[in-house]
Amino acid sequence: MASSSKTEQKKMLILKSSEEEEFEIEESIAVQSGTIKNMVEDDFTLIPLPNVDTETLIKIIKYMKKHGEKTKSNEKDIEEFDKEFVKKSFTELKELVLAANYLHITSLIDLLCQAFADRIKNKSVKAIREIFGIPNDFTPEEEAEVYEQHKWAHEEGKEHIDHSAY
Amino acid sequence: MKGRLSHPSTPIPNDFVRKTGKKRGGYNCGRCGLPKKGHVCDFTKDSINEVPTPTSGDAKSFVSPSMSSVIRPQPPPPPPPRQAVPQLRRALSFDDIGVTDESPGSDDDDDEREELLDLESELDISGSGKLPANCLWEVLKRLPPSSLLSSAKVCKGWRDVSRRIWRSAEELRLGVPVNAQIGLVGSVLKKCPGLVKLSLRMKSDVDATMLACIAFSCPNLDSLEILTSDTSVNRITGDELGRFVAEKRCLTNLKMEGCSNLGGFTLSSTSLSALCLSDLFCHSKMVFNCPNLKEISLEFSRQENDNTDLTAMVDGLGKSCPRLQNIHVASVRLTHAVVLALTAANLRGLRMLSLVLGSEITDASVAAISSSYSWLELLDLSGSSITDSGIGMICNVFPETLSNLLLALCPNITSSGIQFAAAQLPNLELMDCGMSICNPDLDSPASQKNDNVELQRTPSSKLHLIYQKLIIKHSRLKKLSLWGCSSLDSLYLNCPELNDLNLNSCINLNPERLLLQCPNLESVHASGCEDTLVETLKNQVSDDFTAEDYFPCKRLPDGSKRIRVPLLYSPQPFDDAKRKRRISKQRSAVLVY
Repeated sequence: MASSSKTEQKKMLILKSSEEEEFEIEESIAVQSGTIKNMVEDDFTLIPLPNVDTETLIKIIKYMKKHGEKTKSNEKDIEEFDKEFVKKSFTELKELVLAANYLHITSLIDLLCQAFADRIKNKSVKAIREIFGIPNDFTPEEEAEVYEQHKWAHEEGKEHIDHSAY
Repeated sequence: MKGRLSHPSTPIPNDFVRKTGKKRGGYNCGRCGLPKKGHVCDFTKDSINEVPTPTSGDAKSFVSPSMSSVIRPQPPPPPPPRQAVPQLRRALSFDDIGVTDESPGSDDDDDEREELLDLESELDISGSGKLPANCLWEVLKRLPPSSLLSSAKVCKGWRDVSRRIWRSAEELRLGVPVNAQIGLVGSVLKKCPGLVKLSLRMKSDVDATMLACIAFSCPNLDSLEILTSDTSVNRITGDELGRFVAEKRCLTNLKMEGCSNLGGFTLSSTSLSALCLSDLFCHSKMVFNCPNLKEISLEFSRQENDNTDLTAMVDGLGKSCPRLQNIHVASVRLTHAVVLALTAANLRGLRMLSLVLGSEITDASVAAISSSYSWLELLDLSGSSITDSGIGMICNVFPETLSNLLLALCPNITSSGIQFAAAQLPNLELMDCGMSICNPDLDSPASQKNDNVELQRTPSSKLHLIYQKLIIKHSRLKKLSLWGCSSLDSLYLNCPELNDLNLNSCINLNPERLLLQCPNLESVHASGCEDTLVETLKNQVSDDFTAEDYFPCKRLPDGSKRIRVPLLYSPQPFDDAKRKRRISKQRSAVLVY
């Protein structure tokens, strides 16, 4: 049933971005994505990803390549790479997390979500809304209720040293 | 204890068993908050368009009452990502909601599906900046409690996800601020009824109302920690604590600091397995009716006039807690009588015994301990008056099992005793001899001025106490602590497994009489040491050189080699290319019990 010949050592896949650009990648690396893995099991070699634009796809391929070569010796190297990887703007990170979510790359989702969490930690509600571009959809009564239920002896914008855990 | 690791930066709800709670009556549409029944959500069309399969068009037009079933034949689109199936379902079900009379809460599956729908309905790729709900979950779950509370105020979707995270929280660590009212803690605890582990660092005073609040809000609690700080006083009394413990039937771990106000108490619990109380002081009665207690740690305050009857306490402990495996008691009033009470108890499972700060604990106590408990894995008699003969007894009795030996602040032991211990205890992995090879009189500032004069006057019998040397060769030793051993002059270590070496404040350690052959050494603590010593350490630790090249050895008549620590050697240049070692020069002060 396998369409690839058994003698072939490195099976290559082609990933196609939403802008129709194609990228070749080794199967062994690409299957870090659960989505791609499933499609490979169904014998696809050309994998269209209409949800992922070219720029984001390039970054994701870069991530998968780095993590695909994970061995005992280059753990620190990969840590450094991860640290640099999340030094991006919010918009870029958002695009990445949507793509990672769609592609089901758990380690990347974790990395990006942690980066988000680190950035919104201790920020005020207004700041968070601005960062994510989320409108306030509470009615005044609901807003009062949620404020009441989520009180913790602090005011907006102040340092939360006492309240965040040690 | 369950090994739940909290993420270092987010010490709150970490562990959940299920992502979606089974919420009965999910009546409201996740998007607009209006009841689902019979309404067509404005967002429906958008979300269907976002479904990444070309058959979304089909989904839209496919309207049928039988759609309430989850299973649906998969159309074969060019990529059929399996993960997109829920999105397909979502698309269908939005239609569903518009058309059929779906009665919510019909069965568990439907509820769960509705939950899934609600979560997934956050997906809005049109760019208003929302995250997909499962990603939002992942982000919010990594936030500390205060940020999580803030996040609920952002918008309705965030409020809902945040609420679910609270509900699924099993572990919570809170820092309670200075002027906090009990109501605040109560309101937070109410959000997480599934809480299993709770840790509170109190910056404001704590009393029995907190216990009542916890008892009320956390029915499933099995682990509780109440930690105090400089600004807070623990006013819980013995009776109140006793009542709490007796009523909380599933409590297995309890840790409490600042226990000076407990007074007399009786703790009765069949579930309690680990107990840790600190800052104890003046307790007329300390009774532990905990047949399943495995670990107990009692730290008494260092104040004078502590009139607690330790002997009676230990006596009772021995009788009512037969399953004890780890005992730790720290008190300046520990005496030989207490040790005798302990040995009389015949605790068969005892593996770790730590009786510290008792300067009245002597070699006789060691004899008693070794005759009753010969299977100890950890023995800590720091601060006691035992001598090298006590060490000899320890080596006689415990060679097979002892892996941790702690004898810090024992002024009457010498380096020969320590060397003997290292030689005779093959399973030793940790040894702590901090502040034991030192002579406080000599090190005091007053005497240092007249250094030369002092030395001349010191009788030769004591001279050997000043320039002590330590030679340790051990195949299993992993951690060695010689902090504050100011009388230590030379050190030779040949320990292939050694990871951690503490030489803080070894001020008289001669860099020319130092030789470390420990290839696995990861950290060496050398704060308070001379710069030359630190340099030497750095050089030694970064190279791997072999012993033979390096120092003279003398063959003795019986064929054994006696290795002499070299008086002079030239340090090799620091070579980055070799295997990396870390030296951590810590600013930490010397640990004093």
